[in-house]
Formats: sequence, structure tokens, C-alpha cells
Amino acid sequence: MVQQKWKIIDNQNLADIKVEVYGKNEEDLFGNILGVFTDIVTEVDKVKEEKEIAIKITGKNLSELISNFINKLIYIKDTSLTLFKKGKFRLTFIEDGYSLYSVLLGQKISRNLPIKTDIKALTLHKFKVERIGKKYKATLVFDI
Amino acid sequence: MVNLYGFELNKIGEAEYEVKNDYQGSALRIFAEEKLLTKMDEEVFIQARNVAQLPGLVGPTIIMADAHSGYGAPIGTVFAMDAEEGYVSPGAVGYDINCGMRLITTNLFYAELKNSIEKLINLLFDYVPAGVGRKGFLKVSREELKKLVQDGVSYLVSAKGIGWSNDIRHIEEKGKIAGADFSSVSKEAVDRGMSQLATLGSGNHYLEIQKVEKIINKDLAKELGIKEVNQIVVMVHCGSRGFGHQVCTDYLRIFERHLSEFKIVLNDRQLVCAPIHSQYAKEYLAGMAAAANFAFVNREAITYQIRLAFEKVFGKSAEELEMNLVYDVAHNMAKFEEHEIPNNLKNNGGLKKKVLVHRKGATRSFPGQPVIIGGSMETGSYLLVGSGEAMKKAFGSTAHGSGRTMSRAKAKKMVHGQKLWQKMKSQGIIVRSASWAGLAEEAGFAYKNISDVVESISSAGLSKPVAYFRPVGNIKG
Repeated sequence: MVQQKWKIIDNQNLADIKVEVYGKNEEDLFGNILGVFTDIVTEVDKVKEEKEIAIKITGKNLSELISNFINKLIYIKDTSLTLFKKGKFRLTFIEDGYSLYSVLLGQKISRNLPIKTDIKALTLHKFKVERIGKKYKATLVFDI
Repeated sequence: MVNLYGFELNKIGEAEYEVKNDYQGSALRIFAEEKLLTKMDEEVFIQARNVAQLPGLVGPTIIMADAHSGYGAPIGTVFAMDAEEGYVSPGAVGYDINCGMRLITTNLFYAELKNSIEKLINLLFDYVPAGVGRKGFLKVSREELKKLVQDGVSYLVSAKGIGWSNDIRHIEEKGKIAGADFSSVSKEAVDRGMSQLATLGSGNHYLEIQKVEKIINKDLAKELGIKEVNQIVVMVHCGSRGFGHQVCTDYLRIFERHLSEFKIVLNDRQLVCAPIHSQYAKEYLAGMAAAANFAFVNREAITYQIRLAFEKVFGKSAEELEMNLVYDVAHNMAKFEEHEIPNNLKNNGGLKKKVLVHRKGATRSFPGQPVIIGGSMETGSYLLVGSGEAMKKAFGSTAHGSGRTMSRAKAKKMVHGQKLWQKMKSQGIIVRSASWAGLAEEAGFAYKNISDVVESISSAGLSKPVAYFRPVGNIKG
């Protein structure tokens, strides 16, 4: 059975979008967060792997790391006009929290990429990261 | 009494309800007729109660007729914080700082525009970029951006030659929120804002060509430049783009990091707040003012492009076309104002004092001030004026739009954008949208009836309707 990567909760948050993202482990969770982010803005399957960007972010805990990661994706979308199809992630523990090194593959926003909506911010509203057994679940509300 | 989702609401006035206070917080008042009240989603009441429990509030927490659930505070919330002992909450101002409306007149009539509407809409779609990734015509250096966000619209007009000096007096706070400080804005906010000046954005932001459908108050309408039925006007709804979103994001993070210093308990992290006199709050207010000025400048630059497009299509100057600004009013803002505190025994009822009014998805409604309430792109919009009652009951505030009844995700499932586009065309509304999905999200059925909202705020005395407009052309992100 294919594991569900994310679920859009469409009966709540009228002006925004609420999603649940799942991961087999932390790295998988980041990959799926990247996937749902891109799929809300465009159709993730249509994004080409033409451009590679490496980013490194840190966070005191997993929640902060996820928040910083999403804020970085928003920043890159708005300034480099780039969306990503997938990425490779390496999570390490550092003295005061976590460090995430990722190499993201994607393309510049162009006319042949169907744009669905814009993600402008990750809100703190209902923002939650849970560890369920060995798996992870993040609940995110995006301002769109 | 009305019972909704376990909340008891007592009618205390015309289109005015108070939620039974069994939650230990400020009074919670809703300005809406019962038919709108019952259309509000449960989260509105839960979120409103969370707001009413914030520390430092003076007077009641107010929910407007167009309210719908948001994050932290519902869209359509007004509350006042004590200017000395209160708190400031970036989340309760919202991400899109000074998202707002502006209305521009023309002396054209629908019959003159009808055959040119497609040409005009196509040209406007080129002149006013909408959607994700499109850049605006206004290229500025960092130094110029600093001056724009610190000095507001007057700098745009005087230094860049964009916009009309006569517009300035028709903008809330004359297009400049005092106290803006570029050093309180992060590099990320500046980077996001640089290429987004003079762009509409996405979501519920739009540029709409409308015709006057009905004049409700002839004298007031004439005073504001609305002369006859079928006259063409232009309405713009947009905000501070990535600049404002980043300012909010940055300060939410800073406030949350220092939350333990403030010794407050919150029901929702999105409502995180800091004492008004703390350094964090001062810096946020300086950054918020910069973002608010970015939004004023953005709407003025968009107006410049709108005037150019009309000049090109109609072969007359914008002055000849009498493309005057009726007003530009903010929705999402925190402002120090002096107010009579609405009667509330628990919280200084009846006093007049300086407060920090937070308006999220709500419009300032001072006596005589134009109020612009935009409906869905399928229905229509209203021009109103503020009233003395709004000063007494709602910290000089009123509603801002029609308010969603359905999530964006659900609306997209119910109609395809292309089908909606065809339907609107058959109704005489020409639309250009950056995305079909974005168009579907804004379908008329996803919103409350705008006339019901105006009826509620008018019955409650918060503002007086002047004219009603119907859309004939729309551009959205």
C-alpha cells in the first residue's frame, strides 16, 4: 500500500488552506512538506528538474526547523521565482537543536507551469508537529 | 436569544448581539442580522473568544457582519488595547498589512465602455501584473524603497512622478502611517517587496471595472464623485504583498521567542503579543507602518497604470476622464486612536481614552469618511460613509467585504475556473485571471450576499450606504 504523503483539509479555514503532512522519518517529512508546498502553488508533477539549489537551515526544535524551511521556500519563490519538485535532505543534531542541509531540484516559474495559488506565509495557527510511533505528522495552515 | 455552536448570543441592539460571557474575557459583540450570524462558521466564535481573552483589552471585542474564520483572529475583528498597559498582536493585524480598497471615478458611462471592455481588461492585465511571479513596472533601489516606505505616497508622487498629488488627501492617513522605520524591516521583507511593487498579487485581490447600479444617497454620492447610474468606476483590492507578509512572519517569530518574558497565556499561538511599550512591540509597529506605507504606494502605483490604460483605450487624458480617487482605506492595521469606550462595565465603559485599535479584515469608519466594501466578483460592491454610531459602538470601525462561507479548496471542487469564466462572460462580466484555480476560489457562491452585510452594518449604524456598483470587468491573480 502506498503511504499517503499529505492531505488537504478542505472544510476548515475558509480563507486559508490547512494540510496534514506525513513522513516515515524526519527527512521524509521534509520531502513531503516540499511536495505539498509545490502542489498547492502549481502541479508538482509538472515541475521540471532544471535548477538545483542547496540550502542549510537550523532550528531549536523540529517545529522551528519546519517553519524556517517553509519560510525559505516562500522566500525563494518570491525572489528567485523558483519552485521545487523534490529534494534530498540530511538532518543533523547540533548543539542547540537541528540543522537541515537540503539540495532542492526544480525550475523557474514560467508560462508553461500552471499556477494554482500563492502561498504567502505559514501561520502559527494550529501549527503542530507530532511523532506518532516512528512516523511524523505536521499540521500546517498556509496563508494563501 | 440565539444559540450557535454552544454559544449563547443575546440581542442587545439593532443587528447587534453579545456572546454570553462565561469565558473570563472582554465582552464579545457581533454586528450582524440573524440571517448572517447563522451563516458564520463555528471557528469564528472560537477564534473571537480567544481574542476576547487577550490581556490589555479595553472595551469589547467586536466581530463584523462579514466575519469568517481566519488564523488567530477571525477576518472581521476589531479590538482596542490600552495605549499604556495593553499589548500589540501582529497576528491579529494579519499578514497582509494594510490590505485595502481604493475607488476611482471616471466620467465614462457603460454605453461608451461596453465595446472596449475586452480591450481595456486585456491592457490592464498587461499593465497591472497579477498572480505569482509577475514583476511590476516600478523599479526602485533599496534607498528609494526605504524612502517610499518611510514617507509613503507623497514620496512616490514628488520624487518618482507617479500618481497625482491630489490623490494624497483622499488616502487614509494621507498615504503615510507615521513612525515607519526601514531598520525595523528584515532583508527578507525588502527582497520580497522589491520586485512586487505595483503588482496586484493573488488570492482575493482584484482590480475591477464597475458600473454604478444604484445611487442610495444622492447628495453624498455627488459629493464623492458618483453622479449617475451606469457611470464607470474602478475598484482595487490589494495590500503590502510579500513585504508585509514577511514583516508579520518575522515579528510573530520574535514575539514567540520572547513570550515567556511577557507572562501571558494564549489559546492560539497566532495571537502572540507583546506589551505596547516593549522594544519588540515598538519595532513591530515601526515595521508594520513601513509595510502599510508599502501598500499605499502599491495601490497608488497601480492607479497610475490604470489611468494609463484608460488613456490609451479612450484617447483622452486621465484628467479629462475625471479619474479621481474617491478614497483609499486600509483593512489590516493597528493604530493609536482616541475613542469613547463602548459601554462595558468590566472594562472602563464610557471613558474616552487613547487605545491601539487592531482592525483585521475591518475598515475604519469615521464620520463622513468614505468606506469601500467589496463584494464577490460576481455580485457587486458598495460605497458607504462612516458614522458617529461607529465611533460609539465599534471604535470607529465597520465591515470590509462580503465574507467567505466556503473554503477556497471546496470552492475549487465545486466549479472549474474556465466554466465560471464563461458564466460570468454571459452575465456581461469580462474576466482575466492569472489562474483558473484562483478564479474558481473566488466564485460568488463562496461568499455571503454583500447586500446582507451592508444591511447589517447599516442597521447597526456603523456606516451609511451611498451607492451600489456591479462588476463589468475583473482582473484577478
